[in-house]
Amino acid sequence: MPAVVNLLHGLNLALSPENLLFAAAGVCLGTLVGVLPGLGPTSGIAILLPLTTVLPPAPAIIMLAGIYYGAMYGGSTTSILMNVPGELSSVVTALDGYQLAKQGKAGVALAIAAISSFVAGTVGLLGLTLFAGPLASMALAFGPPEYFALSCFALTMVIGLSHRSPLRGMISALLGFLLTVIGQDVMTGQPRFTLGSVELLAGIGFVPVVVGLFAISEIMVNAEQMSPVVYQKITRLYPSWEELRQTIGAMFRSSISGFFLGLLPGCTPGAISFLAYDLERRISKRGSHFGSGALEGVAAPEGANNAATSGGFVPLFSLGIPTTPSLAVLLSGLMIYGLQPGPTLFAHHPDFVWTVIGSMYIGNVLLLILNLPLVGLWASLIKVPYHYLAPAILALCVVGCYSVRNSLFDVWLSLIFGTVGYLMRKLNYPMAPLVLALVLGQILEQAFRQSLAMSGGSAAIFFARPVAVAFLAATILYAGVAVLAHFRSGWRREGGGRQGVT
Amino acid sequence: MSVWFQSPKGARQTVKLFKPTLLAGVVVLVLGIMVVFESRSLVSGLGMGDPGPGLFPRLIGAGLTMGGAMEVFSSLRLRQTESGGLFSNRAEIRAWILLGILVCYVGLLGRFSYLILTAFFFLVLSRLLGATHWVKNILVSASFSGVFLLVFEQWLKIPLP
Repeated sequence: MPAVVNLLHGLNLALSPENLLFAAAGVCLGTLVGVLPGLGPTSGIAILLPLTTVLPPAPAIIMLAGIYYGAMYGGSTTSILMNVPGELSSVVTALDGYQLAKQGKAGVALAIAAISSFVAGTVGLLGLTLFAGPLASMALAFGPPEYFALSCFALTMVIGLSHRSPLRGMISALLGFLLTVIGQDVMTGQPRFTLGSVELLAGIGFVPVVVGLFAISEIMVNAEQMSPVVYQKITRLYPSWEELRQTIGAMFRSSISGFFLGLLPGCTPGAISFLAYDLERRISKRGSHFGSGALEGVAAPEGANNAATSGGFVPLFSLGIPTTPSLAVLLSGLMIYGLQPGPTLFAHHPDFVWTVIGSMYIGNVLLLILNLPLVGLWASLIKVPYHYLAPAILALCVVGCYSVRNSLFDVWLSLIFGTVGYLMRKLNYPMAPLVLALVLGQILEQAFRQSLAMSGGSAAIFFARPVAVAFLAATILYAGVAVLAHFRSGWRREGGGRQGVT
Repeated sequence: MSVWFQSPKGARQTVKLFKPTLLAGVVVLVLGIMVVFESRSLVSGLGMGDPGPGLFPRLIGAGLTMGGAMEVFSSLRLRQTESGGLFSNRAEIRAWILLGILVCYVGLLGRFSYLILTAFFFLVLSRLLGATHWVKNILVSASFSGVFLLVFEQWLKIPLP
């Protein structure tokens, strides 16, 4: 099997001292990002992305990927011990995890979370190894019309799934698109919306936008909500055979569902962990215990969010389509190195891509070691006061944005987007569509214009190619269902009342 | 301005209009119109079917105009005050002050020594966020600034502003 041979080659390269060091650094930073409330994987990757540009591509991406999947492990620690989720995908873990901690089973809950994350991570990586290559080979036949249709489909999924209001999701995506058209047009060289600024000719960089939207705005929101937390002590750490037997089914079920849902754009690990928890609650014999301290209620969401992270790498590597904001930031990291994710990545840079995949297997083992015997160490980091953590993160954001082009202009941009992000959070506008549109906008526009150029200006080209037709049909169908579901829920809420304005 | 609605049971209730949502809708609407207007100057494509650099911005502008108008409309017929609102609690002031401190810090970068300015920024911000012990704060701020300078400029060779 070529995938196994490639993986063994990748593992061999990933085991070089340099790659091993950065994999370890990535998973440590990821666990830290996951443990610390108020710092998610997206902002973590965004802050460190510019600082990794001094490294060669493989170690840099290995480290950034390690932050992403490492954060999924770390997030459960604060959920279980303090009822404060370290990041979004661990929100649901707190439901049963904190109840278990209050019953004196914090150690067992943490161990089950770590073991489930490891099982799911391994299952997800096997899926990534088996599916990414063949999907990339299929995608080699994709031309501009297919990429246009695929990008439309990915964005529609993200808009539909990211928020309860498709309208606000659409506005958010359009704002992301608007940012991509600022600067010189790649095909004609004409400046667009530069407002006479020389700095804007090169376009708006991805790093300032993401650092502003995710890191700065998050700290602004956290500055409002400074409340003391109650910390539960870790007692018995390792689960009994009976407890393992009780949760093993949930671990595997959530791994498989998490992996396949992770392939879909817009299905973030956070949303998937909720789905996996609900699924397990319905099918488990101990479903009635969920919410009051069921171990399966910890195993299922933790397994699902870890499998979903591996699943997300399949469309990223093989099609160049990020499914979550964190992966969109990672994609921009690949682009900084001149690596165009998509089918050609496997063909032109096989060593790079298989080294990164190989490093994920190693990172998964490292995370189990970091999160099982060393969980007490991570838990103690929660005690770092937020009034010291926040200024440190903000100073890091400033250095990160400045270092991309040695320009204070990018730092100012990050402040502007920090304010925009804060307002979006307060007004319930989703940010995921904006970030994904920012990444996909240029691909979408170029694919659209190249397609029309191929057909001499006829839009019929989008309906003459089966793959493009399939994606466009799925886009229209999904958009229709999302809009209908939104209006139906609106009608239900209204319940027949009348309104007026005075 | 206030909004009334009649519940299924017949009781007429009046709620305060959620103004920030309306304001957001207006901003999006105006932005959309500006984008459409500005993109009119972008016309010439490469020929051979290329619609040119103006088409995409025009579509974006049209979408924003439509989305903004719908948001204004839905804000006007909003019948309950939406949670997570803007300008709804006093703690928000802390967030805006934090942003103000950050703006001052960035504005002064390059004019003062990075070491001193960052230590001062750290000190002021940690006080805002609840640090109370002055001596400890000064020591932590100075150490943090020194470590930053050492790690980024000396070790990683990343230029600091």
